[in-house]
Amino acid sequence: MQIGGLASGLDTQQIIRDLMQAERQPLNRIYQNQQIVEWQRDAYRDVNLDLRSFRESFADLRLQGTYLAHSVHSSDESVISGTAHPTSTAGTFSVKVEQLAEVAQTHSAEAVTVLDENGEPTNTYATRSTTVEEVLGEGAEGTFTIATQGGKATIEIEADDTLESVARKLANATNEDGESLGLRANFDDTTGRFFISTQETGEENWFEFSIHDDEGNVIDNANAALVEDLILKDNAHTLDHSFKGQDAIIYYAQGIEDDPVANGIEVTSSTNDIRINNMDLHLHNVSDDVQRMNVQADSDEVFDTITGFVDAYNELIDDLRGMVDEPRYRDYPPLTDEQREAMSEREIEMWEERAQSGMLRNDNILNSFLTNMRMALSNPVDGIPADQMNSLSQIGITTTSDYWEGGKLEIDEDRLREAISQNPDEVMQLFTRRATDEEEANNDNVSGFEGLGHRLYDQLNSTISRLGERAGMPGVPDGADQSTLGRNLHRISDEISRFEDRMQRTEERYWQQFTALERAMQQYNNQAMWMMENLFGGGQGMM
Amino acid sequence: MNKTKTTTVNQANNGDVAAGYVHELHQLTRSLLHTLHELKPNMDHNEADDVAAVERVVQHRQDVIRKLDPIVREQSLHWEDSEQQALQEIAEWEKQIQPLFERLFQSFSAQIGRLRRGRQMANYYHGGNTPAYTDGAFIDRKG
Repeated sequence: MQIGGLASGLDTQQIIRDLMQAERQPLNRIYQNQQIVEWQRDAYRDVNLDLRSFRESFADLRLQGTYLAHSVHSSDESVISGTAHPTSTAGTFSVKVEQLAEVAQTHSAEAVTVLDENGEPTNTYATRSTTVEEVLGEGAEGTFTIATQGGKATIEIEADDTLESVARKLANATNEDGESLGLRANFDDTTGRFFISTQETGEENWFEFSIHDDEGNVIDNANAALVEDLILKDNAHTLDHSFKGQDAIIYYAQGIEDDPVANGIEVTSSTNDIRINNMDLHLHNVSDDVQRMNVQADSDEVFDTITGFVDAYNELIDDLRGMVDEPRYRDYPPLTDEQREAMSEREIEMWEERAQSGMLRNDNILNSFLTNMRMALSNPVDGIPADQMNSLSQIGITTTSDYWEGGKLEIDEDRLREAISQNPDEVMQLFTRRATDEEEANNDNVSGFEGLGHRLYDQLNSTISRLGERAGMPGVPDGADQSTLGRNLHRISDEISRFEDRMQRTEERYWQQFTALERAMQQYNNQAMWMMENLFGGGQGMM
Repeated sequence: MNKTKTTTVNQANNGDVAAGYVHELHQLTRSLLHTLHELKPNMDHNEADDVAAVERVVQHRQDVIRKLDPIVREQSLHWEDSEQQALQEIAEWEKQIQPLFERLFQSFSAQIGRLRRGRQMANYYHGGNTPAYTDGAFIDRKG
């Protein structure tokens, strides 16, 4: 503990505090500088995230598939529906749904009932919480084997197992490698029955409660009665209970064909979703009627994609424009802790709103992105034949005439729809064209030959990369951040450490000087008094 | 307090010892004066040991005084001419030492004052040109 002020009457501790407070002012400025750089870095990273998100959303603009959207219409959606892909072929197809794919399944033939107190059968339905003992009598327990396409398992049944737990043992059964047998099982209270099935459809999926050899002979039927009396309730005692799934069967013919069974192709599938000719068919019901499937170009989807892009682009431009134009209030530096303590929450909020304003004002990366995007979208695509559309304006999309809108786009929807429906290939080319090898070899500015989707993508990539170099990538730990601002922050951090060390040493030096002088003065004053009394004696006595 | 100028044979030995202390005090006081002169008014220009040196000299003086005190209290001493001379010089130096101590503290205080003004300047940097607060509303001082 440091105590001063004995001789001088000064509050030395307070003096040192004040002294150090004043010494700390440059440190506060360094901290403020650090805070501003952090705010800038965060602002850059936010923009980086926005641009990445925008790039992901509209990366497909440069892909031909985006402009080859198709839709499928079925004559009876309750029997069959379809989903088209960009590579689907427009046209009409005829389909007869002969059979749906099914799981292998069974259920108890009769309701499972409980015994009375004398062990006699009753007509009372068992429930999920009924125990095996309540159904089969005291001491009923044992094991049985179940096999599926996934292997076999031995199920152990205890007398106090509930019917729900029996169902669970079936559903959770695994083979010797611990892999699921692929079953579903549950006990239904309403009907008093077990329901058991495979998880997947198709005839390759099956299950059985006894094990056969290749010739169909039962070779393992231990405790088969347990299965029959408790689960299947068929009283057949055949010891041979096998259940098999089935494949879907359809007959498919191109064009309008009234008898695809005779004149089409038979297609079987283990599921009810079948991909034929780059089109997904979804089977819902069998029907004697032949279904017509009509595949056609979906200009609405292309229209929605392009207008969606324009809306998002305008929003992005608005946001970026706002950032580069946002005023910077240099009179509102980041608050020190001392200043915060003297302000209300509301005041702090208002102050910091201004302090953080304009972090990216006139930023060269954003400004150049805005300029480049404007040029990329307004310049025609070179290399497209003169009689074909080669600019956005030709499909009804123009740059707003208001300069201050910063290159936002405006859509003439009628013109855009017309372009998409009448010249879909040209619209596709406008966005997706790639420079040829010859164009790349003979031109410095290859970008001029690239479709708008590629220009957009390239600009975004380049800007995202520049933002990363300036402020680091979102999610990168500070220690690993080698960006310009990241290195700047490292430097400031080092500066703060050095300053703190220097402050520490200065404080110690001040303390040493003050306290030594204090003690010396204290002692000297006492000595002076003593000398006055004992040696000088007012001067005349001793001399 | 006046000292009687009488002495005895036994007292003569004590007088010699006391005379030695007076001369030692004379040396130390001169050294204190010199050390204080060496001390810089600006703390930043002093090494920590510079002030400690002052403290050490003062402490040595204290040691001498502690030994001299019982002698001068118990008997009246007659100082020879050389001691008289030394005491006169000590008295003269004391007149210089006191203001030196005071000046040092004044300069330290002035230094603190400058630093305080520095802090005010720093506050100006922080917000001197910025709006004042009035219950959530900003009133711009500029313009």
